[in-house]
This record gives sequence, C-alpha cells and structure tokens, in this order.
Amino acid sequence: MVTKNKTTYNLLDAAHAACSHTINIMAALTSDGNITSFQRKGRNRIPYIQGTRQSVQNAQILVSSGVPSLDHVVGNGLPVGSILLIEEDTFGTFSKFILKYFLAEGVACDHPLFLASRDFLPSTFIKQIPVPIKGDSSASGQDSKSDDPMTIAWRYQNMRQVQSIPGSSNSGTHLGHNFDLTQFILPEDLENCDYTLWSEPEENDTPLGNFCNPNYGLLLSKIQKKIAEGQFRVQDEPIKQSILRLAIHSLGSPMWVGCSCDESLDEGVKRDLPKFLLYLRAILRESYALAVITVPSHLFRDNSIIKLCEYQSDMALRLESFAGSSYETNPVFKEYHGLLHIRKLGPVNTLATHVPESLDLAFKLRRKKFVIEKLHLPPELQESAQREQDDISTEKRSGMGCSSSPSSKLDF
Amino acid sequence: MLEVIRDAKLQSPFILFVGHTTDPPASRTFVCDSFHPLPDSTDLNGSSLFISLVKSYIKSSELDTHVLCWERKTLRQLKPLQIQMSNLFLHDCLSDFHGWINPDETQTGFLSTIRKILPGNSREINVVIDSLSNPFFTIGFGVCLKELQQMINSTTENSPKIQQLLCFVHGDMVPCGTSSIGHVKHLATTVVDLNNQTARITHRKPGGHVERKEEQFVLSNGQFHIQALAGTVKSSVPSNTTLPQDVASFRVSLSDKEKEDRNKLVLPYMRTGDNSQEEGGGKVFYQPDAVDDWDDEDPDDDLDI
Repeated sequence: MVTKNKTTYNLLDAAHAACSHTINIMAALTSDGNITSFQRKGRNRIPYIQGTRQSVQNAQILVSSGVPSLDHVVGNGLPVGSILLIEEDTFGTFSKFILKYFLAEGVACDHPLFLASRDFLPSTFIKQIPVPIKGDSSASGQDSKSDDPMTIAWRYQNMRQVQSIPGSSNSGTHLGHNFDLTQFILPEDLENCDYTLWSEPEENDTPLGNFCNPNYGLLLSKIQKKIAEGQFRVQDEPIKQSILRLAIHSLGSPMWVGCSCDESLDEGVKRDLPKFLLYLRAILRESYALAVITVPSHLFRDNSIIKLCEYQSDMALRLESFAGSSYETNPVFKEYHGLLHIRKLGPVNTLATHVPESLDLAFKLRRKKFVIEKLHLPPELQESAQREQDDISTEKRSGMGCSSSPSSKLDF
Repeated sequence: MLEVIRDAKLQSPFILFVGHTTDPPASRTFVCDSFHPLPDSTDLNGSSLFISLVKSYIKSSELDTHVLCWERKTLRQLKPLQIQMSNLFLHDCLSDFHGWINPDETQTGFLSTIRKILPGNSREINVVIDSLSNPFFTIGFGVCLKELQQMINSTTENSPKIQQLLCFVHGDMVPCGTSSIGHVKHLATTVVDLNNQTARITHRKPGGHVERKEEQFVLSNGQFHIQALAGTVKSSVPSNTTLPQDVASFRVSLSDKEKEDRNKLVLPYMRTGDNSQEEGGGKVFYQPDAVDDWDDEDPDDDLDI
C-alpha cells in the first residue's frame, strides 16, 4: 500500500496523507514540532492569539464561532485547522446568520476574514455583519430567582434549575460575543479589518487540482494564495500571529453548475465538492486558519454526496428550519425556529470525540441572540387520545427528545 | 396572492411559475405548437394563466416591461397589446435563436437580448421570460442560472436595475432531469406551482419568513378568477392552550391572603415554640439536618412521564 502510494504520488495522495496523519500535524501545530504526548503543565510556547483559547482536552487552539451556545455544543469552540460543514436550511436563512456571526466574531477578535460566495455579492454581505453587544446584561438578568421560600414542599427548594441553554452555567474563561443583528458594522470599522472577498474568478488565476468545474480550483488557489501571503502557514513566523477565518457560502449551489454540463447535475457536484473539501482540509491542517462552509444539501438528490462531504469535513451540522413546514404551527415547537442536527463531530488531535450533553437541539433567533438549546417539550395540558409528541416520534425522527414510548400515557 | 402578483404589488424580485402536468400520459393533450413536438408536457392551464397574468401585470405596472418570448403562443397573444401599451417591449427570441438567419441574433444571454431594444433612459425595468425551458437548452443551463442570479442581484454593470423578474418554466422540460427544477426554484423568491387548476404559492419574505398559500383559479375569456378552495376551511386552532392558567378548571394562582394562610401551616413533626412547652411523654419531632440522608434524585423520578 505504501509503495503504491509512493509510485503514484500526486496531490491527491498528499492530501490523503495529510488527513490521515491528522494527529501528528495537529500536534505540530500545538506544540511547535515537539511531538511527545507528555508535557509539563505550564510550559507552553504557543503565543497567545487574540480570540483564542486552548482546549483543556487536547491542547488544540479553539476559536469561537460567534454563537456561544454553538461553541458549547461542538466542544467549547472550533479547532483551528478544521472545517465546519453546515448543511443549509431549505431557504438558507439561518445558515446565512451563522456565517454572519462567524465573520462578526472575527471582526471582534481582529482576525482576518475571507468570504466567498457565488450566490450573493460578498461586498454587500460583509457590510451587514452585526456588532457585538456592549455590556452583556443577559447573564445577570437570569439570576432573578423567586425569593419565595417553599415552606410546605420544602424538599423542592434546592432542586437544580433546568439549564436549557448549554454552556451558560460555566462562566469561566469566556470565548465569543453576543451580537445585535439590528446594528450593522460601521463602514470605518470595516475598512480597518483585513478581509478578502471572492465571487468571480480573476483572470490570471490558475486553477488547482483537476476539477470538472474550474471554479472550485480557482477558489482553492485564491485561498492558498491568501494563506501564503498572510503568513498563516505553520512554518511561517509572522510578527503578530492571527487566525484566518474562511467563510464559504452555498458551495455546490446552482451557481456552481458548470457551463459545460451535459450530464446530471448531481454528478458534477459529487465529483468536485468532496474533493474540494479534501484539498481544503489538507491546506488548513498546516495553517492557522479554519473554515465554515455551508452547502445547500436539500438540492442534492443523491444522498451519497452529503455523506462524502461529511466524511471530508471535521464537523458537520444540519439546520432544519421550521419556516414553511408543518412544524411552524406545531405547538410543540412554538418556542423554536428550527432544529439543529449534529451529523459529525470528528476527533481532532485526540482519539475520542467531544460528546455533547444532548443531541436533541433546537435553535431560536432573537434580535440580540441566536441560541441553541436543548429541546424541551412544553407541558402537555390538553386531554387528547393522541399527543402531539406521539405523531412526531412516529415520523422517523431519529434522536427526538421524547423518550417515552408512544403507548405510555400520563395516567394518575 | 395571484391577484397581488397580477397587480404588480408583490414585493419579490424573482417570481417563478412552474407548470406541472398531472394527467396520466395516456390522456395527454397534443398541443400543436411548433416547438413542442412532444405530446405535451406543457400544461395548457398553467401557461394560459401565466399569459393572462402577464397581460394584466403590464397594464398595472408603472415600469417598462420587457417580455422575452421563447414561445410562439406568447408572442402571438402579446403582439396586439404592444400597440396599446407603450411600456411593453417584446423580444422575439424564438424565430432565430441560433443566429442562422441573422448572425447578430445569436443569443448569449438574457441581458444581451434585452439590451438590443433598450431605451437609453430606462433605469428600472421589469422582465418577463416565457418560458425558460427553451433557453435552458439553447443557451445552457449553467449560464442561464447564473444570469438569472445576476439579474436578481443587479450585479451587471451598465444595465438597468431589474425590479421584478417573472418567469415561466415547464416543470418537465428542464435539462439534466426533472430534479434540476429544484435548482431553479432555489433561486426564486416566490414559486408558484401550477397544477391543473390550483396554484401553490411559496413566498419568501425578506425577513426570512415563508408564506405558503394554495389558490384555485378559473380561466375564462383570457381572464382568471380566484375561487375559494373547497374543503380547506381550517378548524380554528384553539387559542393559546399552553399556559396552565388558561386550561385549568380551577384557579392556579394564589391571592395574597391565601399565601399568608398557606405560610401559617405547620408541618407535622416539626418542633415549634408551641409544642415544646407541652409536658413530656413520647413525642416525635423531625429536624432537618445537614447530614440527612438526602437523595439527589428527582422526587418525581418514579412517575412515568
């Protein structure tokens, strides 16, 4: 197997090798080439980079996604050098918000940005990124407990309050900000940040790799150029180390249909998209950069495409919006805007993946906050033979919150 | 909703009409249109509705409307209207779509076609394309999608801003299989699925909300009328039943007086000032203690909720 690899050594193999030796390279990333697993505590030579934190589990550099509750779900932050794949909701509303938060967090932490999209104009999108809320009052507001002591049912007094917002309990080293969606970034602030936009290939670019649709290769070469120019590679020694945030919107959308497309649309995407992710991951593994990529997975008829994409990324989440679906009016989901499905949490620099507290997650969007919560069902108050929870659990919704079997009734 | 579109009052940059056929293949009607030699795909109702809607749309819109005709029927029906309406610009895209007669007529895209008879002073225009099915094959699917997107985003330089784009497409006449209609729908902000006599409308509002509607239409004398959908009178949803105080048969909350009374209650086996003075004898008292055998479990754990 090894000899075969050596003989047919091309870029693809190099990329494969890069990914299979994840642990080694990641170790190099974190401990400047010293690949021993035992290190003395406190002897850490990674320079502090603004807006980052080191993971306690695997010494990986983490950055915030811009949504603190999302950070908590994926393991306290997004590891640098990884790809987060987001499968868009049908109308793409919430995936755009996540990208906005990701970029806004970059602006707040003074990280360079890279935004690519063929569906909208990146230059208009970047003007709409929100600003952080100053003086976060949301944390103190929740402490107003009812000071009514329970005298009769006093055993309930010390019951733990249900924490539905993950991560709100551990208020230690705080990573990430909350953003106000109604306020856009000031133009002069935007001028001060270092950002690169991509929507149309430039003329003198040469595409990387042999993709069917050259646009994939052109985007890749642009990213590679940016990483090299900005000195984000591991071996580079810039004056001030920073993290490059790559946001790629709607990769594989109708705008990525090649001009010379004779066969079925899925075929072209199936060949190019997973390959793009593989190449990109190989590049990111050796640089101080991370990517959030959204894909319109609802357009892919072939299920294997999204499987391949999930395989080629480090983390994958799927957004399921209630907009326009029957769940919008369902009283069970009254409080939420959609469901968040965790498709993959890959092990990065470790053998075991992060296991979130709960897999039944829902999100809601408020003006000043995008929250991911454990899905709670409201109390059942109506007396009906068929409960609302039952018809959801029958619809093959894997991992839904209601654990009771459909037959069990609330009988007293 | 269809009437709102007809009156050019719907705020939506790209309205897509998709014609579907529901009839089984055996009873398909033959439409004698030179460009649809197949036993047709093209649902009569859908495209007739579209033409009728476009006619009224042109009348009610204040902006110039450019109609790109890729179907003979559309051209024939709109020609008389062109004389009356000065804001209507008709483009015959069908008769020489490949530039075989006149090499200047070679089509490379929608915008270049529009530019051929574009008055120099026009800033904002509406564009109607009937239907997209033919240019998908002649110009190319990828190019068409890209150009539609550019028209919505108004990203092309030195071209007028396109206020609204109305397109018709035959649901079963798209390249790369019928599933690719999803790609076209993905671009549209409003999708009207025309099926026999019903129109299923999905409208994306700018804020991210999605409105779904179903309407039934009847065509008569080139006009369409909206009918109430039979059997869709929804049973009124019982209002706000999730709050306990709304559904309980008794009062859930407590008044101040009741709270006071409740606090007076003395729990059994509690040592209080009163009973400590009583004479001796066997008495049991309970005093909560720090080292009590607490179980941290949920007291309601045994209930099968």
